[in-house]
Amino acid sequence: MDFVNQLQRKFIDYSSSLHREGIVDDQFTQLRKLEDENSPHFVMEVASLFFEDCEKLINNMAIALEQKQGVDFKQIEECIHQLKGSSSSIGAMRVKNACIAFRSFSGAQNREGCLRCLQQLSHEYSLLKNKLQTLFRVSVASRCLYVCLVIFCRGNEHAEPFPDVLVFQLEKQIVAAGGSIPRVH
Amino acid sequence: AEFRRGLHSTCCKVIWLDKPTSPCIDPKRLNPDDEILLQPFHGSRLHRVIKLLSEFGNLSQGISSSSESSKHPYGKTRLRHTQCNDEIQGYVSSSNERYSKQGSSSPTLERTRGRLKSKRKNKDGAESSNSEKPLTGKRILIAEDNKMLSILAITTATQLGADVEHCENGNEAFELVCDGLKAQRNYDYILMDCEMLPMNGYEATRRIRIEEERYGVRIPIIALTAHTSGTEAMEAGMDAHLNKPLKTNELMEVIESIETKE
Repeated sequence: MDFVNQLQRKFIDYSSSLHREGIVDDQFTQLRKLEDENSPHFVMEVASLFFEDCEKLINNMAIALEQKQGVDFKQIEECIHQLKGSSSSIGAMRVKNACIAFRSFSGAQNREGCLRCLQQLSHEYSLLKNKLQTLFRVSVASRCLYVCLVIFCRGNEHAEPFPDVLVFQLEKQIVAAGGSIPRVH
Repeated sequence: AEFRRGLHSTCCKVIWLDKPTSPCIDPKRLNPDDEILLQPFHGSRLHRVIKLLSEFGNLSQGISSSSESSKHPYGKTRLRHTQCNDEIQGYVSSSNERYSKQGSSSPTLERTRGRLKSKRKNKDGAESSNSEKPLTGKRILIAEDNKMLSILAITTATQLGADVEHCENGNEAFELVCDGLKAQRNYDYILMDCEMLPMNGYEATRRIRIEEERYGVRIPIIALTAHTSGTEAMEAGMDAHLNKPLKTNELMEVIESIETKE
């Protein structure tokens, strides 16, 4: 029954790849250390807040850059400043670096450069979001399958019927969390 | 036994389901970490097993044990409390949505008049576990305008045992400190973001120092900066400076060095 091993392996490998690719840095690891019994889902909650925050700021910057009567570069700089802070808090290294690059163009009041930077920023953000959501799915699935259900019946012909509906419910929950259930008898 | 061998790994706990009327599992032949539950496997038994999932807060406790010890956050292994049933139900059914929800307020924080306050209080056994934490009983004011950085700082300080208050700019920080001076109930430390608007951390600190002189008090103020040197911070009257984002070990080092100086 290697599926549990495989999922755990997958989680570790995926997590390492995020670090290797520079998607997240050590700060992400620090965040996980802040999870405890009072706040077991801290990382996911913080990530969710970050996604919201980031989308809002990217949106605001896009709108600001579209203004025909003149771009408010101060507003853009403020957005970049906020986003740089937020991304550093979660360890989103590539997003943070994209902000730093963006800052020089907005400082120079270069609209074209800013538009390019915004595009790059959006790209890094999408990448991060996809990867983190995948990581969370694998994490939940591997922990659900930590508990293996075993139906131990000695003498099958006398076995009482097992309440399939309950196994089904648990399986549904595991699948909903992104895991899979191999058939075991 | 054959099933167990097939598992290979040591990190799988097996819950054996046995028939209550004619139990046929011999506990002695099982791995010591395994548990035996009686069928039917539903209701409270199902819930107890779900509680075993580390996802819901339990790494190494068995179904039958009910110990509630908690360890210092610096410790390598942590025993965790079991979660209540409602949260388990809610979590499992919405785990996919959890990390993409649209709500605008953090579930771990409450807003009190626009300021964030930590909701993470210790559950049962608070007194015994609190005394293990380095900042137990300390009141810390965190002045930070960025929401994510605020959450990080508040959580970090709270996890170290502190009572944390939060505000979003230098003006508010100054007011809060003044209130404290008048009431003779001062913060033990202030974590001050340097780049806030309309009043930044440097200005707030300068004003605080002036006001403090009237009372003969000096509250340790730690600057939080975004990778700038600490010179301006020290000149404004701050006692130490840390780079954002706040890290637990760095905060403790700075606090310890402040304490040993006094």
